[in-house]
Amino acid sequence: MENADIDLAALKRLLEVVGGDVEELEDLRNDYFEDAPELVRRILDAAGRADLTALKIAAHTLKSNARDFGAARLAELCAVLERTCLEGGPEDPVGLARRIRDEEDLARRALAGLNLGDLEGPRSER
Amino acid sequence: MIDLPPPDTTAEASVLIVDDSRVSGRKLGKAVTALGHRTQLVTGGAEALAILRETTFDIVLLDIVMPEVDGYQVLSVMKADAALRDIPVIVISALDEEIDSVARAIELGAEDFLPKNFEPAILKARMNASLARKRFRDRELAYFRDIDTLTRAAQVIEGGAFRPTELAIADVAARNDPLGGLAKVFRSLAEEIYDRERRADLTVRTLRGTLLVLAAGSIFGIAPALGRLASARDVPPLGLVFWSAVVASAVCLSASVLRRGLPRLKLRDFGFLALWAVLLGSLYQLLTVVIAAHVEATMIALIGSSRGFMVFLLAALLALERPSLRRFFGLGVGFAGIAVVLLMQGAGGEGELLWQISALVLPFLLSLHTLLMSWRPRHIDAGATVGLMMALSALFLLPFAAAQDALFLPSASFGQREIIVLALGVSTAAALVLALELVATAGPVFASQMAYSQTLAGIAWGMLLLGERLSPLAWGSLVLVIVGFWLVEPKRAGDDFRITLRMRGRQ
Repeated sequence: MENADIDLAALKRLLEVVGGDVEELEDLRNDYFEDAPELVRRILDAAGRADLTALKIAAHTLKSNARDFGAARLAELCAVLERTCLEGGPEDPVGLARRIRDEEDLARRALAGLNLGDLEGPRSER
Repeated sequence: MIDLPPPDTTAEASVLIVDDSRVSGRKLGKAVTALGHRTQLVTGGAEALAILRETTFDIVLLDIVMPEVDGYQVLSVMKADAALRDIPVIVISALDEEIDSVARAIELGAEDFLPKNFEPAILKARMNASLARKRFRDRELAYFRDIDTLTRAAQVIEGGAFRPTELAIADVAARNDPLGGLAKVFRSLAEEIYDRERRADLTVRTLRGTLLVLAAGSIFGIAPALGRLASARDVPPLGLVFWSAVVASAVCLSASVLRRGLPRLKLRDFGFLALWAVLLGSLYQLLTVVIAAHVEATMIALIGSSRGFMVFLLAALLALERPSLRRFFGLGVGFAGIAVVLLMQGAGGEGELLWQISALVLPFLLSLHTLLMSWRPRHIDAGATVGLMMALSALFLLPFAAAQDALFLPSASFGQREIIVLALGVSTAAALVLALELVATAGPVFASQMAYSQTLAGIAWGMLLLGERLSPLAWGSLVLVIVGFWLVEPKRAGDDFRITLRMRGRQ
């Protein structure tokens, strides 16, 4: 299985935003783990129905969450989906939705494997 | 010129975060809390508008892209609502492909924008700037509201009736700035004006009350002398009282109808009018004429002065007056004066003493009448009230007068009997109308002082019309009565007055 790259600098920035509180960051990660699959389900569902509004909103939210947690590839796929929705819709919404599902799965696994306590050092470069 | 000190940007603010993403909202909440503010997170536009109407927030951090009610709709509703439009809104944007969205949000009234992946320092700077503007605006609005309050207070004073407490400028006067100083000066001037006008108002009312006391007492004091004159000419008392009631009724009702049209009566008015007609128009008038046949008019007048003490006693019993040892001592002195004259003057015979004692019923009936006048129907003018009461009295007296064969027919030649009937009717009508005005102006206790003008007038009428003379003992008794009255110290006229200030020239 392919690995998802997690931008540790983004995670460190998120840690800084929440006041350096690792426990809070872990709680946020848990929220992400709960919300992301639901957002993916909404994307797949909306893609199947060709509901561009629902597709755009779900992609927008997942994009923001992915950026916060440094899941750059997932965020980029969501941004493409959101943008194409604004431009009339992607050529293959279901295909794109499935790619997002797979990428989210990778990102979640990668995030789950991280020890967030290790982020407490000085901010690293990407 | 408004010179407000800069607002405190570090003060805790109440922040509403609106974001459908739990992760983004929670992240934002944590960052805002770290800046020392209180936060509340909602995940939809409808929920945001609902809570904004229930709770006061200093600032709103608003996501644009949300399902159902999005950020634009929230902004539009807020800016259209006077209660919400001044709350600053910072829109949260992903910034990359949303430049148009941010521009549109700012056109809709958003104060600023913040990227989703913000730096805490940027968040702090933008929030502080927005909060500072909001707080400065709030203070400006409060300043203008206070100016508006002062302006309205000035209009209230200019408009007429006011009490300083009704000006509602206490909050403005509590300000620790030049506007607060202006409000303090304004309030102080208003209180000064109010006190001055109140004193002037009281003086005018007291003077008016005193004039009414003198006029009503002087006119009312003629009744015993007229009764005695009638008795000397064998005019039947029932007939005299009946016809004088008819005259009084005709005079008052015709004058009232000419001035104000027909009075509008309510069913409950008849209770008051009937009671008053029995008490005053029938019993008092009849007993005055009957007793005057046996007791000198000057003595009836002197005994009548006890009315002032009776009213005080009744008012003290009804808690309308505040009793004290001094006042009760005065009451005793006054009654002692009456008792002396009764016992010494009545020594001539048992029958004479009984008639003199029975004359005490007259001031007692007048005391009840004085208190009763406080409950007169206010929607009927004094003339109509007296006219209707006297008409009812005539109706009550008619069967008794007929049964006693006392219902003489007035002569067309207009002799002494008719003059007495006319004088009694007109004087009763005039005195009662003035007495009603007096009670309305100064209250029943002040009005009871009419007893003294009535006494002096009664003595004067007795001397003038009948050639009566008071004995030195009677004069001494009168002095005792006056001393007693001084000790009873009837309420100052002003205490009974209801103050309604009207600016000069605007009444």
